[in-house]
Amino acid sequence: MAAFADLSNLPSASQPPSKRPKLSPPPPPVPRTALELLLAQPASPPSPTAIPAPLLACCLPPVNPLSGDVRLSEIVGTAGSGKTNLSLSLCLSSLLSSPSPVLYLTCGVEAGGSAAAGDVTPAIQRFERIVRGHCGEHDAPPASSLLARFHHMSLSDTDSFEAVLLSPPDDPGSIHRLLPTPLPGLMVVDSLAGLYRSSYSDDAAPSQIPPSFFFRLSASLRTLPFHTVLINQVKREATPCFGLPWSCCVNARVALRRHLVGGDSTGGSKFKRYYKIEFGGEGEGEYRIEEGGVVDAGE
Amino acid sequence: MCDLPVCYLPLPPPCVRSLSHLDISHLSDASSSPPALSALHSAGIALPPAPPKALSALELARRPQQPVVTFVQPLDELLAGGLPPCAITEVSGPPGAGKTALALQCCVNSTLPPEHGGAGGAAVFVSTRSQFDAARAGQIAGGLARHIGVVSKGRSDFSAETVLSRLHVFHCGTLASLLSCVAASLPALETDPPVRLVAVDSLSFLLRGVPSNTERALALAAIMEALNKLSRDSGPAVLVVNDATVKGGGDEWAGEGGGEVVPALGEAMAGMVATRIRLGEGGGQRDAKGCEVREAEIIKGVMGGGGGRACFVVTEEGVRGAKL
Repeated sequence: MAAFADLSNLPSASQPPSKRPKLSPPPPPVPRTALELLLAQPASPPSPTAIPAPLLACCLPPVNPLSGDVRLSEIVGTAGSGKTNLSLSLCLSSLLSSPSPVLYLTCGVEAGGSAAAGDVTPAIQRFERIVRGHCGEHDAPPASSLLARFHHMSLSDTDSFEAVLLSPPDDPGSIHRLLPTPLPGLMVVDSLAGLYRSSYSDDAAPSQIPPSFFFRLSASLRTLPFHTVLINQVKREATPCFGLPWSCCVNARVALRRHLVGGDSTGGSKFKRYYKIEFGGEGEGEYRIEEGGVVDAGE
Repeated sequence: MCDLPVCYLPLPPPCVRSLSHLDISHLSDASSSPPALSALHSAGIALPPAPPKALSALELARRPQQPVVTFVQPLDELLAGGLPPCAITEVSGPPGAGKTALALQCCVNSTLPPEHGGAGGAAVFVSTRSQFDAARAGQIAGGLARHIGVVSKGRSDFSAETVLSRLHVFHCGTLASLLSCVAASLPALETDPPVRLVAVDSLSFLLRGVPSNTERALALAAIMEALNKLSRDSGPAVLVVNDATVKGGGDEWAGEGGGEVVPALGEAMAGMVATRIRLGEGGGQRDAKGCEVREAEIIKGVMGGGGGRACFVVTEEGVRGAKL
């Protein structure tokens, strides 16, 4: 599995803005008609996995070659609702659909728990199980070819996160300079709330982040030529972290929840899991988590 | 205004080329051309603004008068016919309230033929944040074409392709490109039929990323000034989409720990627009077909519509009035 080189020597993210080369103003934008954009819109390919179709359409829509617009989608839910499983399943779907790699950013506590960049995180272990579970059941490419295109980066603190994701594109430490070749088809950030919540001591802390930070982050992610899925946590009463300002920064939100329906034969708990696209798409339904990842419970 | 030829000025070659390209031969010509002013400003020359031109009531009456309908009848009644031409309307609300859907619907409606009560023009959609959903625009255009087909009993050749070919889309991913678009690209855009609606979705997204309040206020003022000038000079209705924020407490949704959900960009925005529409949930109601009902409230109106609420739904065919 690919991993990025040592991030401890992140260069010159602290270089003062006055020393950075100034970018020339962009040329005025050129219009397209909606008809041109519609005719250029590629059709959605058949799904290579059993992820519910609305989720795939919401988080991994085909990119229009004329506009090149990318999508920021958010997956939100309580602990254990399946956010990481869904994001990893989306990674698998992206790997099976195109030759592009995927990039998975583990942020916050889980990243910091690893001794150094390159250690195997729980997300990487889970992805290996998903790939082997999928390859074992389907006529799929060898697991090794999929795992080799799963690129992982750990960002354990807010400083390194901001240095990578908020630096100008020409900055050597910017995400633009750290991307694998060829460019990924999908990036997952797991998770924004985990990163910023671990920087503070109480539940009220995320409200200390100025809204302009979220808009800058969103604008920076949109300069990347691929879709991004961000995982978020919830606060009390299942309200997504970061509230209304962050909600305005993403194109779509998928809310996951689970209900305890009893016990299973092994003495564990049995859950029913539901997804709902709260905005940026349509769809709601039930899903399951299996060895091969998230599957539509309606199938 | 000094009528000095620009060739007599000690201008750097790039500035000279820009002015030549814009067909500016004298300083007096530059005063009414924002791109020329920008080129001169970059060369360190700031011109005083051109004095305002007085318009007679007859000239004002001859400007486009047909409002752009929203297809939500109660809302159109509150707005005295629809989105007013030669003025700016703001629509705000939390994510999922229907702002983009309403903006797309109004863009499509601006192409409605005059014989069917429409403005009979073209539309411009300036996207700052997300993918322009061409498929969704196609659905809404198809809905309008089917409606015209029913009303005209099949005698109209008005099609979804006609609508979509008259909807011009700009993508502005940065504040600089948005400023360039509203100040230079839109005034220079020539379409047939002429543009009757300019929608910006969303105005607040790029501005809220500016950390300095002063810089944000200056950028907002520059954009709104350019949009105001566009609507006054060329006559289209302008619709700006604004986000919602929480005033008075934390980052919670309203009703969960305090704070009122209000339009973003502050009270300064209120003074820059003629009409303000706030979209929100409809209290969990569903219409006769099971669609979620949403609410549009006029919080500022000029055309006799200050206050009042209208219920609407977002269907596959577009935005429609709710039938409860």
